[in-house]
Amino acid sequence: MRKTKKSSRSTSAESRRAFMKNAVLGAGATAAALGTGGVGFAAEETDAKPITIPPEFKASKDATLPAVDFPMSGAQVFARACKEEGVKALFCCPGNYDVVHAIADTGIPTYGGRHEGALCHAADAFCRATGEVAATSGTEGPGFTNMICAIAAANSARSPLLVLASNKSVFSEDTEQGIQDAYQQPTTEGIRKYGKRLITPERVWEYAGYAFRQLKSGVPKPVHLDFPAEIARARFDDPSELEYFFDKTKYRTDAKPHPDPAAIDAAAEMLQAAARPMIVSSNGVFYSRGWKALRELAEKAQIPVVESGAMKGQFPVDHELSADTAPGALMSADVVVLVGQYCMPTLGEFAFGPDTRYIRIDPSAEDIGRNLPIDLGIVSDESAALKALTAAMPHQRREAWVAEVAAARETFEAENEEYYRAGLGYTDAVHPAVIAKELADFLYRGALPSDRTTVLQGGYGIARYTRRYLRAFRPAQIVNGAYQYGAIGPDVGYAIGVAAAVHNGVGPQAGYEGHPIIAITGDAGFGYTGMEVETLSKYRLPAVIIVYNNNAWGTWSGQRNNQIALPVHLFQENLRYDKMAEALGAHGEYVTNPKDFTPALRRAYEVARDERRPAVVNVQARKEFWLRDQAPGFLGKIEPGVMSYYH
Amino acid sequence: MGGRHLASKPRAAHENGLAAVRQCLQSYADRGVFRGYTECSERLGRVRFRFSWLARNPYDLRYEAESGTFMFLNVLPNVAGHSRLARALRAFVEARSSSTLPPHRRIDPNRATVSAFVQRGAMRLRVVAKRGHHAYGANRVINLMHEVYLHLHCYFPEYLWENYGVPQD
Repeated sequence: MRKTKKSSRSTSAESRRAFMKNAVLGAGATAAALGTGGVGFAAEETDAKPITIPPEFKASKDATLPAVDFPMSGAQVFARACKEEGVKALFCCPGNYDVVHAIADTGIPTYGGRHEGALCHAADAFCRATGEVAATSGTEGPGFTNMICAIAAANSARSPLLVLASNKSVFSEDTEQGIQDAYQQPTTEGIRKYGKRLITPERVWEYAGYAFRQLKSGVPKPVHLDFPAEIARARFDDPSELEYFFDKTKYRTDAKPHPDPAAIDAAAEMLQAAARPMIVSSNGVFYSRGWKALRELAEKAQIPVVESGAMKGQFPVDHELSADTAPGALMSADVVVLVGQYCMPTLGEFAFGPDTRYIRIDPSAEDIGRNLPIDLGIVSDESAALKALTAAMPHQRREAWVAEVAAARETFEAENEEYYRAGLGYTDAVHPAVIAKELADFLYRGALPSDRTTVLQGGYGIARYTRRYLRAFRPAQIVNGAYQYGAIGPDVGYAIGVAAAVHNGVGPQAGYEGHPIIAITGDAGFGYTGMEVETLSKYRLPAVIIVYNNNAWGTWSGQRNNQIALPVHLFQENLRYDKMAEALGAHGEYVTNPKDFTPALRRAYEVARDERRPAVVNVQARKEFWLRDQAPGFLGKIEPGVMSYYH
Repeated sequence: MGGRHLASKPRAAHENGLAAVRQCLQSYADRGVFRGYTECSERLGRVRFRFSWLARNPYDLRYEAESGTFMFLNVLPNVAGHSRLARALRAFVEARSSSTLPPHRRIDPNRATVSAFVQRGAMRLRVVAKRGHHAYGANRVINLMHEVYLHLHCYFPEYLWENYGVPQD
């Protein structure tokens, strides 16, 4: 309910203090209250002003896009290239104004948040959820360097991320005139596919071509362009002033490398002779949109499929040939086909045995044979190779092998059930097995269709449990947050990107518009990007964020005997992240008992669905759950499959 | 003549066994599974194979041709005899001969026996090949070590953090 506005400044300040006091210490629930324009919220029993979304948001949404044509600025020329190349979203913070505003003016959905790093993570997650190029932007100097961790994470995840940043002017280079002077390109060396400081205004379109050639071919990785003022603010009266101002069909091709027929024949021969073949489907299958071809090959030759990578669901987990939840069967595989496995494990990191033979399909010949010795390499677009292999393979039946995989799945599920039963035995706090199992029940065995909800799988210790229970029934239904780079903290940033992907129905998220996403994180992770709950709230991106709150970093268990330094690994106990979320316009739930978890999750989901607000479910656990004597303790993992996140 | 003939039979069997074991282990090295693969003779007819393998650790596998015994010497340090870990690993290793396992995962008791025991603070894995099944024994002991490593990954990750340098993350 909307409260009467107080006119006195001192009263207003006092009210804020009272509100914060209630928010942090009080046990009373807050409730949504409509503010001006029907979009505001306030804490009940306080006289605080309601949290409102400014009317400019609606005005922006309703505005007609400007018709931009020559004369154009350099920023506008670049923005046109982004639009024509199909960039699907921009995530940024203020800064790099000319470029950001020009991109927004093309109609590319543009989101602004609290921290460049978090928004860069959002763009990365958007790529992982959609397979499309997303852009991110920050201002020169600090804004750009805030993005470094996120660029590195996107690089490790092989995301087609377009990193844009303003960077002073060419004229003032090296002078330290003003503030925020820094060389950007050396900073992203080693964490990008291509980078360039643009210095010649008339080549801005040409360098957009350089960027998109890299983003749209081969193995995707970030591309970083920095824009001095001379580029962004250059003025072009007509196209003749621009170099290589061609349609994209003239500066790059969508053609993909196809496999050598001899290599396909050799692969088919190996697979026909194999008793227990398996396919590992990873990023490349997703980015080549190869999931239909994957399924056709698997079904024709009856080859089980297990997934790895930065997103999951290219092969439905409920298919009889899915080995995603059959870790016990992996070591039985005699021939393994690694498809689009860009991030290669070393020996022993995947659970296949010492006698396993490997076929690797990858668009990049330079990478084939790295880390894991191969028996056969196939240089090809993944989808093209899968189609060729399907054509080359006869129909085969491998009933004993399929039965072995099914038995391994049953063993795994029985083990999960055992963990859940053990978790229910703890009633002084909520055990991670309870969270994981009951979340899975809610998503896949209740009123919701099992393929509906996209999940951002984040967190550290909690993820050791939730990964075991979460399932993907369609492409990119799970976005694998910590994949390879292992950053702790991007999760709420990732949630923005995933929620935006679903909200806009981009790529394989089409058809799921309007449905809340689920994001899982820990209390350590929430500390990094929790402020972005405000970003989710102001854009009305429905996300339910589950915070596993065990009062400690995940590192605590390994350091607990180090008495002097132990506080490094600890937080204050029983922190109220739910109240923090409420103060940022979200719905909050605080759960301290296992029996209360599912009802709280349901309430949070309903708020997200019906009010299009984010909700934070703060689940109180305790750090001792990671100890071996408190069974099941901290869980290990087997890769590939549902538990994988290293590769 | 006859005496010489009788004496040469076991020696020939030993040589055949060693050749089969060498061929098996060399094939892992040739395929890149092992790195830095070397062989050295010890006293009493023992041969020790050393190679870098899982987690890039050095592995010492001792082979006794006469008895067909394979034993990993240095792979599971810091295991107390009556610890939960020791009990779990012993049970896991013994279960490798269970008829409930698929044939390609089982250690066939007709061709080899398997055991795990703690000696001087370390757990040792032993496979004894029967009736000349030495190549089989070599293959099974390598697969056994791999299965144990996976088992530790899944159920005792902290052991690998502490003893194998596997990252806690």
